[in-house]
Amino acid sequence: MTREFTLRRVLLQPELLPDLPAPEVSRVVSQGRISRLLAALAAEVERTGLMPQLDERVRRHLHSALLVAEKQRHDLDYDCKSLQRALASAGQKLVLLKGGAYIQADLPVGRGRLITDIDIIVPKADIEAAEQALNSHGWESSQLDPYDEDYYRKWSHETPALVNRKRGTTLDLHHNILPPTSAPNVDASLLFERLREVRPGVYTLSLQDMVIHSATHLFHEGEFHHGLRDLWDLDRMLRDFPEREANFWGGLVPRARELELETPLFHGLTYTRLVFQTPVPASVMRQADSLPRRLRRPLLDFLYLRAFRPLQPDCRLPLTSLALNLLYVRSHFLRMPLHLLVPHLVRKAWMRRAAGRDNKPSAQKEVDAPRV
Amino acid sequence: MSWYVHSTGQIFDANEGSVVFFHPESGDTHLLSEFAACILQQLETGPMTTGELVEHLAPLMEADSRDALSDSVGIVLEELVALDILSRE
Amino acid sequence: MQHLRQLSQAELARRLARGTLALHVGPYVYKFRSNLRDIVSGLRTLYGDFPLAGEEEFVDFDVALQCTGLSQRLRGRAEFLFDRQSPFETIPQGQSYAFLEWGMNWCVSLHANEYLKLHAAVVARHGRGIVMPGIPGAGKSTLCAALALSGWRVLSDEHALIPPHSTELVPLCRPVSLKNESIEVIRSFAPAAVFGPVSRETHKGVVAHIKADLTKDSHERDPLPAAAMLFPRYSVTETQCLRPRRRTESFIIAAYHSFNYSMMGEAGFHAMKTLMETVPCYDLVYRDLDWAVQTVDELAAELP
Repeated sequence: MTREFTLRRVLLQPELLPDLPAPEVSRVVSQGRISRLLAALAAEVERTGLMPQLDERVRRHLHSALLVAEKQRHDLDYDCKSLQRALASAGQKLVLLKGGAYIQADLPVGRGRLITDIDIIVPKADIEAAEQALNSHGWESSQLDPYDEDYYRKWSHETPALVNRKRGTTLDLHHNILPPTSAPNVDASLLFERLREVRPGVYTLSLQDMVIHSATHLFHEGEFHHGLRDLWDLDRMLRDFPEREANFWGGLVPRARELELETPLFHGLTYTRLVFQTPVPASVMRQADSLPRRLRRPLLDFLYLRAFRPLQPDCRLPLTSLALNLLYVRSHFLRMPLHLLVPHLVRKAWMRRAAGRDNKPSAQKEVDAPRV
Repeated sequence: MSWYVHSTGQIFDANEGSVVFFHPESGDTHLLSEFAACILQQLETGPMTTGELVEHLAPLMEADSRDALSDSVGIVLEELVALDILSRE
Repeated sequence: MQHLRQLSQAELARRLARGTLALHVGPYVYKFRSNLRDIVSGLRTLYGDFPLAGEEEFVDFDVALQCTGLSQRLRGRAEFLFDRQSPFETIPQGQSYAFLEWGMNWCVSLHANEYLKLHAAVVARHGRGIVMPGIPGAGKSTLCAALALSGWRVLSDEHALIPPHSTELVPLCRPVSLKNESIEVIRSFAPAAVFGPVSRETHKGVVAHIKADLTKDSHERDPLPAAAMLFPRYSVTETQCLRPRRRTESFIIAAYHSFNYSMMGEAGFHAMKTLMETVPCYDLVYRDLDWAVQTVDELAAELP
């Protein structure tokens, strides 16, 4: 890493924050907002008791970010009860993935973690029953154009998003952690063998599976605008989980091998060490490494070290746009066989053009709509 | 069958015939009639059947007819269930 | 303290191009960047009396209205940036000034949850504030502009900022935005009103802003007590009147049109309740601006 960005330093050492010059603190707040890590930083500052040492003008941004996280935590409690009731009516369990799981499990990785939707997983055989049960409890399937609907049903590991009619919460219903078109074919039934009950009737994946899933999501989904945040998740988990489970490190790589997800785990470990200096035992790195992975390292370093930074121009390394575009293609490549990939990307690009816009919300609609 | 509230709500009452009711669990805010608010306050003391509620409310409402009151209570209870403020057991 | 008007046109343009212009706007510091002429002239016209913030100060919101890259240049487009990122589509350059102002609102609407934020204009007289919630199209900005041009202090034409547990209003004075017919209405109401650049064919039609920091205390930062909540409504058919309205319904409407009532959860309810227990609520139906201003003047004199 040639250029330092301050957000990383203060995430790891919040005690640096009170002594930073104000313009530097402005940059931290700005980087935190863009990377969706401001609430996580605020949680670190609060946990270490540093809040009173900060200037009131800075503190209010941190409190403001924490408030959003708190509201999400509160709403998640309520929505999980609704989901539990819905799934129970179909004889199924509520199994949370990703952010929702971290928060409901009260893990350090959930502190100040923002979520945009709730992700849950059910066994593939039960997915239709689950969707029906959810529909009848107020979680409605969203209307998609026929092309996207078809794509989801055939090639995705989730159903099109469901939306709670009353509350507007979005739910992603998965039956696997990777789409069936991906090169590694994950046997999702293995995940259900090791569920943890974190609250009465609320389950998450096992600690190891959570780490493996987080790494897999990061290196397969192409959502690199949250890349730094996802890497921070991994760091928080890898620092915390070994203290919760004696054989956490010993079982991690063998478990990834069993799920055929060793490669994303290896990348996850590599980059969280590089960016956040996460302490990963050398023996685990050796176990996860392999010759083909080592040969690809220079290229991947070029790509990923650009993705794992805030997007502000003063944080960017040269050629960041190129790297992000390549990663988008790469992650699609990882998820779909090539003959599918080409039509999908072309179709996506064409639809965006046909609609006369890219993915951004129209300024006309967003700028002054009050948020209730 | 009795009715119960999940949690105690917060109320803003300006003696105008309607009250603002905040439901902490869902985070929703409702404008309720004083009558509905009165039913909720009764239920916050503990679960009750519709009959028990009518007994408590009749003197407060100066109701002539228990049957008419019972009907109104029934309608309000259903509405409060739909808002997820009440449950029956 | 230095003010923006002390910078020469060239110096202002230079600072904007480099992104080193920072202003105190109410409780916040905004940093600006722009390479567009409308932005330079708009800021010069409307923000002349705003205090400059030093380079060593903490910046709350980093905003820009830029034309970047060949494609934008050729198509005459520009984009709004916040935290150096573009959250919205590009817009025609002729609308840049309106979008800068909207973007500045958006920063506060989306962040700044340290306050209960109502979508309302706030004006003050005799050191007491009147909150005017804005049901879109009701004419709150027109009335706000007329009051500003009649000696009232403007605390905001968009955000009532209320610290929880208080009934106080935090000033965030900025230019007042006017749309379509209200532009002419205000021009004839007060020919001396100072207008910024006009943006045409926006999603709200023609938009222009007037300089609204017209009292000596416009840029003071101490909060003022809230004395009333007024729901203005422009109507040509109804009889003009000022009448009390229910507090409970006013609570619901103001909360519904709030930016973060719901996000604040129980704290939001209590903040709102504290406010509504204190302030009497009124409907103001008006057609004639002079009458409206006089009526609000009289109301202010009577309030405790």
